[in-house]
Amino acid sequence: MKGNCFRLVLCLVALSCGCSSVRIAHFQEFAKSGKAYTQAASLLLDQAAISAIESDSRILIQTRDKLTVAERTETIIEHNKLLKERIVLLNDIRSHLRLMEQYFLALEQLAADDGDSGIGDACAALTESMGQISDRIRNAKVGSLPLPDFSKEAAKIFVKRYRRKALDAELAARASVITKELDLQQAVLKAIGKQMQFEFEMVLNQKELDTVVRPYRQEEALSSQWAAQRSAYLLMTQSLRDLDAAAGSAGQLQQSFIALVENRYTPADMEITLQEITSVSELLKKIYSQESQ
Amino acid sequence: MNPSESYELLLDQIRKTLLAMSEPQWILAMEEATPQEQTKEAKLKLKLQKAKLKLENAQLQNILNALIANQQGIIDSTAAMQQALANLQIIKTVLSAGAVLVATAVKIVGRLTKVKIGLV
Repeated sequence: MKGNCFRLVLCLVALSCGCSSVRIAHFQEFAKSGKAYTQAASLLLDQAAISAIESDSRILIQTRDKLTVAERTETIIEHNKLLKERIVLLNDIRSHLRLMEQYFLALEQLAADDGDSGIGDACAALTESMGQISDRIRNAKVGSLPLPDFSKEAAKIFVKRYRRKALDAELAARASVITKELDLQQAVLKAIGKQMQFEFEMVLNQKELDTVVRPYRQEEALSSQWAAQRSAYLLMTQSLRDLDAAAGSAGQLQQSFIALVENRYTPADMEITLQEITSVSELLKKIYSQESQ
Repeated sequence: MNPSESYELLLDQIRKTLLAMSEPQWILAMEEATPQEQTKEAKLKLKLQKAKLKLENAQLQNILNALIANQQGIIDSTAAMQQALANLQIIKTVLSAGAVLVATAVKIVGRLTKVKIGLV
């Protein structure tokens, strides 16, 4: 009877340890997604400033010869002022993003249980030493586990439970703050995504006119590169459809967080989130490599 | 419709107009227009671009204000997790050091016991 009770307790401890491991792994995955997200969003903010300046310069160049000297002076000063404001705003948003990066880093460190084996080893060494003074201790077993192995696992369970408790307590205390933050991040990326989509379309229109339409309209023979340039332009238009992925990545991160809060997070959540985040980075690389061609 | 939605709607309309004015058909048509029409078009384009920059800045400023309002919660959460991690390190250090200390004491006691048994 006593033995059965003991086995039941052991099963419960093992089960609790298993649940904690799964839950901690979800926190680790969420922290990993969050860090990847902050890196991708930071890249997007850098590019947003560059593309806003380039797009404005394009319009200033197109219209310059239709303005008087006084109008040119007024225009360039006003536009510079507005773009300086934009750069400050984007920098402030980036500074805020660094706070999010620190949040995800702290979450990752608290959820990282790979350094817990040391404490288990110390406890195992203790029980092994105790075995030197008592044969009963040396030969003692918990279930089928020798006492040193059991004490090693028990110490690790204790630390793991502490981690899980700390993570769950933090989640319960500030779930609304993080949900709101991810909602705002989604709004940032949606706004910047739309700006960049506009700026990219302006680039495409210019490219179509200069490399495809004008050469085709002229009397002279077409250059040997014309067909290739036309293909490059038409294929670039495909990238436009992917720009919504920017806002999608923040939205996906928010959904993953809600799943984590409600304890229904699955590995699939992590996979979708990372896919969305990777697609933003890939898209930026694609757009800027095409634009520079 | 709330103010931010109307901002966004206006911004969308301005972007659409500017994009239409940058399309090859429009540019080619304007090249055929009179100098007065060209000047008028250029000034309209600049006016729209300036309005776009202002509205985009206002939109980002609104979001930034909300982010700043939420900032303290993020800082507190990060600090709480860092504190929990520091506590955990203390627990681990104390447990490890305690275990090593006790193990050493036990070894000494074990040796002394053996010596005593040997003497007896």
